[in-house]
Amino acid sequence: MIKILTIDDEIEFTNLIDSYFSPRGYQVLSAYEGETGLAIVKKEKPEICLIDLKMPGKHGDEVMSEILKLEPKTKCIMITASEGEGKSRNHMMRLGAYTCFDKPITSLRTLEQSIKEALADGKR
Amino acid sequence: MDKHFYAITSGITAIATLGLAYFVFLKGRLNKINRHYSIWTLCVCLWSLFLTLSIYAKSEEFALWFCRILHIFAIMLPAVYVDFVLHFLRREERERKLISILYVLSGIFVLFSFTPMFLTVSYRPEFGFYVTKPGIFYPIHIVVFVSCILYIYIRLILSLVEFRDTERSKQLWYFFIATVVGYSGGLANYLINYNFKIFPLYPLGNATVLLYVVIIGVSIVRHQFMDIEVVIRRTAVFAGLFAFVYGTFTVVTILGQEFFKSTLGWNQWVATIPTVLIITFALRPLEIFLTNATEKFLFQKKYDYRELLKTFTNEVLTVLDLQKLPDQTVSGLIRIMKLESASLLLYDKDNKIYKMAATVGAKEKDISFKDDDTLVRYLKASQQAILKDKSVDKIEGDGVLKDSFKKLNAQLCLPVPLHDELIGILCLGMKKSGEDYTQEDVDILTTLARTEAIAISNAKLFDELSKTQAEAAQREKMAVIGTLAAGINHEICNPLGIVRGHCEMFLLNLRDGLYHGKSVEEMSKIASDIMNKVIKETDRATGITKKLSGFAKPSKRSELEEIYIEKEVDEVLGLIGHDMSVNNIEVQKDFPENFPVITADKKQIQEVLFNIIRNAAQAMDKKPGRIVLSGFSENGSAVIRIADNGSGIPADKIGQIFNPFYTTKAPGKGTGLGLFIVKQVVEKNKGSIAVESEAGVGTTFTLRFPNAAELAAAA
Repeated sequence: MIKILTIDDEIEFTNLIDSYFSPRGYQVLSAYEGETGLAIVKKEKPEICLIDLKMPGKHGDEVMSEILKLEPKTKCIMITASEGEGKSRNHMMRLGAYTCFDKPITSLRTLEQSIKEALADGKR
Repeated sequence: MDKHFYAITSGITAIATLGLAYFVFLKGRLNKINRHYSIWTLCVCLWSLFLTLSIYAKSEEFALWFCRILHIFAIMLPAVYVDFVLHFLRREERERKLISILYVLSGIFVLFSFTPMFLTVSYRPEFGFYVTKPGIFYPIHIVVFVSCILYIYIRLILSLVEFRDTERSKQLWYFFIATVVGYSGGLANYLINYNFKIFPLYPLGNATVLLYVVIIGVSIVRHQFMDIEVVIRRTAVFAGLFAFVYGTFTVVTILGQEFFKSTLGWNQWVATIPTVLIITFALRPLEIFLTNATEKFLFQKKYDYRELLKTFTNEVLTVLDLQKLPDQTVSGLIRIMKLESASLLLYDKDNKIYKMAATVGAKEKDISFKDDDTLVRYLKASQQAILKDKSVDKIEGDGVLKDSFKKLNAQLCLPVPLHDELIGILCLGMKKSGEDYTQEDVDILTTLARTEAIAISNAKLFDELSKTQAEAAQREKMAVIGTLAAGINHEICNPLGIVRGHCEMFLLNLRDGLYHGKSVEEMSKIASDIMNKVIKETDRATGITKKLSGFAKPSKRSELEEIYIEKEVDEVLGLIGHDMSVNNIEVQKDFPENFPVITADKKQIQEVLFNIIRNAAQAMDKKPGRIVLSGFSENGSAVIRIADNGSGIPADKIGQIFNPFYTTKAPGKGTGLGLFIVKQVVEKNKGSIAVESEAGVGTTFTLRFPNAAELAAAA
């Protein structure tokens, strides 16, 4: 089963991802800050990580860099605030993000599409 | 003896009336009424003078000569008197014919007065001097004289009724009484011409003419008769001393001469010795007595103006609130001067009118005057006060003006000028004591009005300054909101994203057939779970928008209320708390349960807390940090500490942080007004702010506010 890890301090967001993707055949894991997220990555090795950029404690970009160090194959999808969009987006992509989504996520379907593409990309 | 007394009173009357005539003329030679008064008084003077001279005439020839000259003035008196009084009552235009007839008649009498048909003189041993012997025309002169006097009395009484309860009526009363007293004695002089020698009309009657001068003098001092107000103290004392010396000399010398010469057979000049002695010993005590008497009688009710100015300046003119200043001015004047009413009108530049700013006792509370209204025009042109009873009817358009005074319930209108500009009008009503405004009052109040103008202009500048400050504060706030955008985005967009996500998920699940085979109960549960989430998240978003719009709205006029600081701190943390936690800033809050409640403007306190807390957060330079918000009570005051462990302020910069436009932030990041406005706002709310800082260690701001109970007690 494909594992998706959501790292976000916004519990409602992780709940939403869980309730959408679980019935669609994914295993959804949740962490509310970076350190826990990294621990889960080490243990569960999820294929996909959805990471919020702005979090208390370690920020999303740092968390992603560490995940990619641990598990370079993990596809990291970053959730960024719209402010300074272009700049942070480029910054994320340079750090190795698979793609970036603006917060709030406007469409779950698009996110799902993106995850599918990422998975297909990983298989290639 | 009778003869001498008669001569002395006439002599003093002549000197006194001459002084009066000269004085009134000097004080208002351009005024028709003053000129007429002087002419009339001069006639009385010359009449008295020649009466004295004719009494001492040694031969019939001289006596006749003096008597005829005396009668020129006696004949002219009725016409001159009527002429003056009609001018005084401002009826001269209407009674022009009467005045002309009287003058013509007087002229004819004067011509006849040099013939025996009018008068001759004869020596009367019982009087001891030459007395007028009336001719056949003489009674006609007396009839005209008496008729004129009676006519004027009627006119005066009618005017007294018309001007009841005004300053003018008091002047009229004095004048009326003075002339009744004066003429009754004056007319008594005619009795001796017909051989009547009835005590006290002879010889005391003649002294009443002198009494007339005294009454008029009092009227001038007390009621500005003839528009004259003088510092009469010295004059009165001098006149009293002069009368004493003159009287003593004449009486004692003449009596002494007769005594020494006829009884003792000594040289009559020895008689001057007691005179000199009396004068030497009595002069100084008399001077003291007269000074005290004038002081007591004429000036007893004068206001202590130093006190008035002091109180007014201290209590009223230091008020910087443009809303309160007019009220305090009016109530201050009412209280200090004991007035029945007072109003202050201020110029409204936008509408170009003088608008009522504050009043107590005005009949029309919302009266206003345009630039071209008579009152405004006169005050602008003359820059002088208008006294209702004195000057109103001398001004063109007096009907309108009288009406304005009536509506304002005013007796006195003063210009409030600033740099040649009339910025307001101060209108004062009757004094509760019923006393009139004296020239001294008007002088002091004119100065006061000028000071008031400065106070108003100060308050206006202060008002404008605070408006500018308020605008600056608003700009600062908007700048702050810009920097807040990220935090706000998080707080609003996240809940909306979640709402959207749940709705989208429900629709996609439905389309993807994930709900296939679910029972109605199961579907209802799924739907209500979603609905609950939607409600919860929309509430969250609404809450933050409310907070934000509440903060962004410009503060209206200060509204004081009781404030629980901790609640306001929570309010502010609700706005920026997330931003801080994202930046790893830990917030600690420590307020005791019995923390004093303060009285202040809630919005302004929120702004202060917001500014300081946000500054503290920014001082962390993106590094993790801690802000400690604590409160304690010190001597009843509420002390609030906002301490951060951020970068701190270098010692050489700390003196400048409350200065306007001082900022250490990058261009465009701060207006440099934050702490400047914070300080202004804190002080406006009767608080104080202090800062301690050490570079690299952190900064602590300490706010101190009097507690609500203390503030109420101070007020």
